[in-house]
Amino acid sequence: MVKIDSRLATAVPVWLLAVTVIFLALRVGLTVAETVFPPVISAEIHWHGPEYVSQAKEIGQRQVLLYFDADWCEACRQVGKTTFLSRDVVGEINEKFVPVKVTDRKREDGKNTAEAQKLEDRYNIRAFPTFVLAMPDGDEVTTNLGPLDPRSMKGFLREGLAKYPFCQGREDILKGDDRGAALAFDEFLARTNWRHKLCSEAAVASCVSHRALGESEQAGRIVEDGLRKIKDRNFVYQILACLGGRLSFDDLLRAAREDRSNRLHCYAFTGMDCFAKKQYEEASKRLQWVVTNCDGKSCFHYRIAVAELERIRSRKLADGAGTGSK
Amino acid sequence: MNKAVFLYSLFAKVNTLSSALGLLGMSVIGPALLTDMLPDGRSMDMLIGILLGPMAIMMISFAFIQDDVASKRTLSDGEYLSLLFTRPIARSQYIVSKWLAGSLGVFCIMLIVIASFNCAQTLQSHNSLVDCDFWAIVNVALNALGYSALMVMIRVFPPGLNVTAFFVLLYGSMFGPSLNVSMSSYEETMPLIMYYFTQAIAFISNFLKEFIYPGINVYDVLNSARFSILPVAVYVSDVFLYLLCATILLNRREFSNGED
Repeated sequence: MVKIDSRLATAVPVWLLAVTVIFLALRVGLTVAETVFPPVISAEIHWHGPEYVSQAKEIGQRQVLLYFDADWCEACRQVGKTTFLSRDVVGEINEKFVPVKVTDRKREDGKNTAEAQKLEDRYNIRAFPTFVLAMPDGDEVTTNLGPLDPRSMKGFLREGLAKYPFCQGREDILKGDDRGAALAFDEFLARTNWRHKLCSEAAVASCVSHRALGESEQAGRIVEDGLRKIKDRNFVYQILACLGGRLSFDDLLRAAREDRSNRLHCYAFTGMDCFAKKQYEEASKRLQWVVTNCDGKSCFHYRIAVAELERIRSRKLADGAGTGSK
Repeated sequence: MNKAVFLYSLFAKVNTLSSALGLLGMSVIGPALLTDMLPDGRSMDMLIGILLGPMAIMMISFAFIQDDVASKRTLSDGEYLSLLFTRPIARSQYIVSKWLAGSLGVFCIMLIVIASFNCAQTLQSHNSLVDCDFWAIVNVALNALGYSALMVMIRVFPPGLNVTAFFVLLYGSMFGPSLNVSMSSYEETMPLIMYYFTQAIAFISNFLKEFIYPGINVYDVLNSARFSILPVAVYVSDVFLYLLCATILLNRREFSNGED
């Protein structure tokens, strides 16, 4: 039998001890050194204060990145030390966004500045850090609550850029700009390769906008592509099927069941489609249902229904005037 | 390093067809299904973060690094077992062998997961979801080495304590990020006991992140606008400290090659 010296078996190797001691000493030394002589920062985000948002003229077409933090927030300090010092993140933010930093001072000063409080109220900020990507006019594109590491931050910014045409399209619909809306939604679908969770809604809106422009062939192609390519088959996907004639409105209502959100989607989008197809009476009926049943006036469905009803009214007036003059 | 312990640790989990197929299925079919079913967006990013993050790495390395050499089972060839009986090994060798085997196992599985994601996203014309460049592979390798060192140390803790420590680390990595926000108005309306509970959990997870988890992202270190080698020193010191602690703990424990 092989005998082994127990001291050899239990000995701690010198190399292991030496490497551990050396790197622990280096760690302590560097921590102290970097506290006394902080390393030079080679690139920084050019933050603006909260008052910058009200000067929207200077923002142009770039999205606004609003960063809500507080001096007492540990996670915010971590984000400042890592994510906002990543050269990729710094470059992307400075190049493609308007960065605005809003520091909460309620705990220290008892209240915030008026501009900071206005922004906190507008975006319903309840915790820090919170990142908000907004359209140049301030409408929210996407939000993140909690710290982001550089990789997640890049994903968040990418998501904002991808969603930008979608939000632009919604704005165009509200303004009654069918051409702008069609272009924006088509761009969104191309950018996201029909893989984003909002693709069903974008396809529906694009189809309706093309129909309103009299481009039925293009609208039909969008529906066909959507039904084939979209993987996320949520309720709005069924609205797309309805626009493509694969599902009747009654079937769609049955599929929506008593879910209010589904019904709002259902009435709003099919109402818009009726308007695009010049079926004004049916469009008014469905859009009026949305106005009556929508909870908040800030809700997109409510705003779109009001805007479309206004368009129907002016179209009817124009048609009436045309008939009268004849 | 001891070849017998290394090979045993590496292949013990994949020595049966069912476990090998299960492991392969999890790392290939999982990403493929995920890529197919989920739309792009931040939820997808978060899921990928979980799949390739510390939690998954810890679970895989904990599975690889068992606290036994042969677990009283007879292997098909019996080679590793006989080697152990004939050549008793130093405890440091045992620790280093387990560490390297765990790291290699985790590295291989994570590479398969990344490759599966990339194949699935190419086949389905998906936008890029998972980086598969030089830095991604370096990071996977370094994180595999780091977390395996931590798991080796956890595994030599007394029975009971090791599993508890493992779950604390696991939950810390799972819930830490979601608790890592500082509430403002919400805190004022929260019951006091809940507030202290959340604060305590957040403190523990922050502590684990700052001082225990031996992760590193080399790309972020090199890409930082404030270049510092401190994260590298922290990472290396953590890894070797865990190996040293594991060796010392194993020296103090009842350990017999014959029994194993």
